[in-house]
Amino acid sequence: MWMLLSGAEEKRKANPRTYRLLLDSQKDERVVETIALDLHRTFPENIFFSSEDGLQRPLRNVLVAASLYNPDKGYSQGLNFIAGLLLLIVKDEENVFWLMDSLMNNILPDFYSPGMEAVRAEQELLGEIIRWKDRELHDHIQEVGVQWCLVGTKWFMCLFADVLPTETVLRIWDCLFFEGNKVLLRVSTLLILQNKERLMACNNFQEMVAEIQEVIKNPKSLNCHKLMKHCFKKLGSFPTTRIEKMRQECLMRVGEQ
Amino acid sequence: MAGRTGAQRPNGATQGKICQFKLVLLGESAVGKSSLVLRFVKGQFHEYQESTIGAAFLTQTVCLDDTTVKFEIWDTAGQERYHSLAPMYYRGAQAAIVVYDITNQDTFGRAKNWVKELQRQASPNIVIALAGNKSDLAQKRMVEYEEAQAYAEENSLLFMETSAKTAMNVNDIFLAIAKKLPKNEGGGPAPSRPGGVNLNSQQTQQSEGGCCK
Repeated sequence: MWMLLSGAEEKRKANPRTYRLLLDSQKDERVVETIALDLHRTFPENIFFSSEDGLQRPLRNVLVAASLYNPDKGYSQGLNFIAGLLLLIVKDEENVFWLMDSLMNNILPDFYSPGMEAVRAEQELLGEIIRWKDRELHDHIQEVGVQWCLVGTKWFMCLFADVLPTETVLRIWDCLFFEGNKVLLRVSTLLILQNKERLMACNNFQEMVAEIQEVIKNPKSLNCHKLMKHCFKKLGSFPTTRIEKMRQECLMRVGEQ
Repeated sequence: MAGRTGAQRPNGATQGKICQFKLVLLGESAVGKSSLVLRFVKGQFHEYQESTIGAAFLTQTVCLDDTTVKFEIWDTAGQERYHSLAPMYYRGAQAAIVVYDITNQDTFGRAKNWVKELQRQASPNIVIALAGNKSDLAQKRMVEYEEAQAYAEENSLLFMETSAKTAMNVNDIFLAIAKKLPKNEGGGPAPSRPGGVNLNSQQTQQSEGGCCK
């Protein structure tokens, strides 16, 4: 399903030899080494990733191929968790490669570029959306001194893989492949807003940072069905043109820093 | 979050002072930064610790004579591209642990770069400790103890070889930092706070040179 929705299927058909050629080509040893460091550190408690006979080899193949196919991006930590979860679900490593390609080049903002500007902008954008949806909470978070750049790096970089329960992540990814990247902002916004009471009770920086880290563990965040329903019903509209305009402003702001 | 309930006691009921310090861990990917923090905060060790994405925030409290020192710890991601995020985490930090892996010479070089950057860009009074981690793998050693110690001395760094796996020197390095941090009140320019003294304000934490309450 994801293959069709994302356009990955088409890409694979149009480029039937690409993946094999990438695996057979000359590799940058430094990148391969960097990737190797993360193979044992991707879902280490999952039985499929705990030994080299399992999914560690396909994981390395997919990550190396993706770094070669996207030389401007290279390898970014975070991609290991995405490829890892895709491998667990999709299994066929070439399909995983093309799904990664759709994510990196079509669906997501440029999260995996070396300067990480797009991730920082997305964090600022989350702040702007919170300001728009709940001014009081936004202002309180600002008052205790927590900047948005400290919130949600992993949420965006890993698309919630290794952040929320797998069942929930898969539902989020359904939306991601089907309707695009806005769902990441919806979920992030909801995680913050539905913990308003607890966050408003934080009176200093350290309490607030700790509490924001915990929003993903709140029972409200763990109920997959409710979380997804609230994402779309409770938050109201997220008009694409408005979000895109806000995103461009955030990108400009991050670029100026 | 471990350690969040420790140090806060009602005013007047405390024996001695409570100090709060921001500490950041820096170093190359997979040298054991998260493992050192996990050992220090929770007393645990995982052979394969997940890669850190972005940064993790933890707190832990240690007692020093009549002073309770509360560390607010930022455990950062090690991959080169995350370097651009690092200033957000070391800005205003009173202490840093720069970690390398004794079995990997490159990570020692990278640690030296971190030290240079901190000396140039972090708070002027920051206490920097150098940790040569994975000392349990001494048979694969590539960085000599004496070499690192000489470098640490030249640069006035605290230095220990540590092992998150065996717990060797893990508490000790945090304690050594706690001892070296200034715990006198008014150790730096006190920020002006409107409407009296807010003991828990963020400004307090960001003040230079310690923040005893």
